[in-house]
Amino acid sequence: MTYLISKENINALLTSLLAAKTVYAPKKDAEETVLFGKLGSAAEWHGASLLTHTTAKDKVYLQSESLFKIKKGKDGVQIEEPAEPEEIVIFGCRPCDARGFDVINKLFNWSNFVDEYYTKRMEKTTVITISCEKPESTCFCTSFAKGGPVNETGSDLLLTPQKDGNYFAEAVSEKGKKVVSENSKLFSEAPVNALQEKADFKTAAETKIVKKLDLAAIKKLMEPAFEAAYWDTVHLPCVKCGACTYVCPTCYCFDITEKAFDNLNSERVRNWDTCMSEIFTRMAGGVNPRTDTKKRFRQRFMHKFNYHVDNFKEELCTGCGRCIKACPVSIDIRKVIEGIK
Amino acid sequence: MDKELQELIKKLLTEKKAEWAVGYEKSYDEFSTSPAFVNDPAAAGRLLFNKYCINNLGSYLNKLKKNKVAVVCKGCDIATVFELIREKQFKRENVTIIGVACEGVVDKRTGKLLEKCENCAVKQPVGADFTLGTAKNSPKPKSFEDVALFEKKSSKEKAEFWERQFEKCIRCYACRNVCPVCYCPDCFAQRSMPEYLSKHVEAGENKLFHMVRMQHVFGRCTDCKACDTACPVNIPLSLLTKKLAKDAKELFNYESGADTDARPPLSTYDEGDSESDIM
Repeated sequence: MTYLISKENINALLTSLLAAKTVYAPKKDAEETVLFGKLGSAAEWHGASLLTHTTAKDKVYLQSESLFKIKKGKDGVQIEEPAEPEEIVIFGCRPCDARGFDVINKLFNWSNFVDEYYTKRMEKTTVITISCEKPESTCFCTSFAKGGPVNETGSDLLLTPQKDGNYFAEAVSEKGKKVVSENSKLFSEAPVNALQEKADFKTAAETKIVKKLDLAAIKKLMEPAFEAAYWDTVHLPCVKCGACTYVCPTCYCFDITEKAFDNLNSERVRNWDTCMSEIFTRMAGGVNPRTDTKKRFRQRFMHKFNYHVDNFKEELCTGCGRCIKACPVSIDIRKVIEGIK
Repeated sequence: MDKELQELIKKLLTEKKAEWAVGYEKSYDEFSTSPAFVNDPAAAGRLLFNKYCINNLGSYLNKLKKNKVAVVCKGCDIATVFELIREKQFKRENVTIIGVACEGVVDKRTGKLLEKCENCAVKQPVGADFTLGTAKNSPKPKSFEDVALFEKKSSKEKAEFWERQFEKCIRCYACRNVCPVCYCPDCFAQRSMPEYLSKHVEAGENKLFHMVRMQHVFGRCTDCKACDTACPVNIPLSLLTKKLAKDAKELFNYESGADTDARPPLSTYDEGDSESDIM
């Protein structure tokens, strides 16, 4: 289902969405940090597809998610379930962010297992993506089968800017179709040349992406290179913080901890965790299979481009390049995996 | 300068004066560099120095303390090396400091010169074993005007400002992990028994982490800005580290990294000590 929406009507669409739902869109603060923040009004939207410092992942897969609260009283112990998630819209993310949801949806619904906390939120989330006009020097989305600056994977509604300032709108899912049908006055029929314009937009954006990796060839090299001397030195600059994993649209590891407020009240919380941290693999009793910083560094690449591919037939990466930008010592994930021999 | 730097490191490695050399190399684009570890003299050609060499390589000396290491240092980074020697983390004779003259470094995120570079008194490095290049030091001393201005704000304004900052914090610990003086093998933030800090990521817990870290590095932090520039969400931690430097100077007339034999203010007692930091 394809449509056209004018620049002015985008604001009207936002106003309409805001009336019923919480809308998150990229917002810039005083420190020039661009994060997905709650929109108060349509006017707060900056009007372009900015690459945010962190991803939209944290709006669905919360960094700290309360699983339940425990209350001890006269009548014994009471368990308080968390509130039902609200309807939200993620507006103006890039295709690489939207595809991140597609990747982790499969993980949180693996075989017969359904992660209800994530899935409930995802069901109530509408992803409205804007095609990416300005790939950066860190971007490599075109290396992936389903990646690219105008790719619709993971989006409910994909908006591609046209030369005249209007947007070519594609309703990709039922949720996307619902947005259009509920706001049908704002959308008009797509002009005949819209697909051609989208193709031109795609070509222009793709030429800005400087690196394309042969991930199938790299995958073949990874398993045999597990013990390679390469890992002994390539990890040395890494400071083992978790910046790369916490800004990643696909990293999903977590830890579950208890938080006690006092003797009577506590909470069980699921928090993001990072394989870069030493305590990530430390078990009760103190045994740690990955004490060595080399092993932790290797794990991140092995998981993303080897193990995950074995399990899900796709990489645990969308090529958004955030890990490269966020890394305090500018470690380039592309260089690291290309260096495997 | 690059050629000179490469030749020097090649020589040090060949003559076994150093087993490892830590310098900079180009990263993903012309505005970014990464720390480079070289132990093969033939690989010294990778090394370079330019205004994008923002990292403080002194922090890597903790990891290589068993080795003889040659390290490329900007004038400001030398303070870090001296502070770590003062803290007896490694021996002076195991470190060859290669000082590089520096006209200031640029933050890859903003493209702007770092604030610490504006009034820099060590553009021409002091205390290095080898010095490459020449640069003219700033005639003006380090300014604490921005901190003084912030101090004048009301408690409410300050609280609101930091509340907003710590709400952004994702607790990736990049600030701690790049910090040269944050080398505890078992950080309080990661202890689980007892759990000093909840893993729950929310403004209050995040604030607690940052405040405790700042307390821990008082009198040791050289205000190198590594934490500030490492932050993936641009929390201006520099304001806090500069406040530490200002307090150390004003209350104790102490400067971290200036003297390898000094005793830091919080580990000494003098009757004349200021008590204004006691709440």
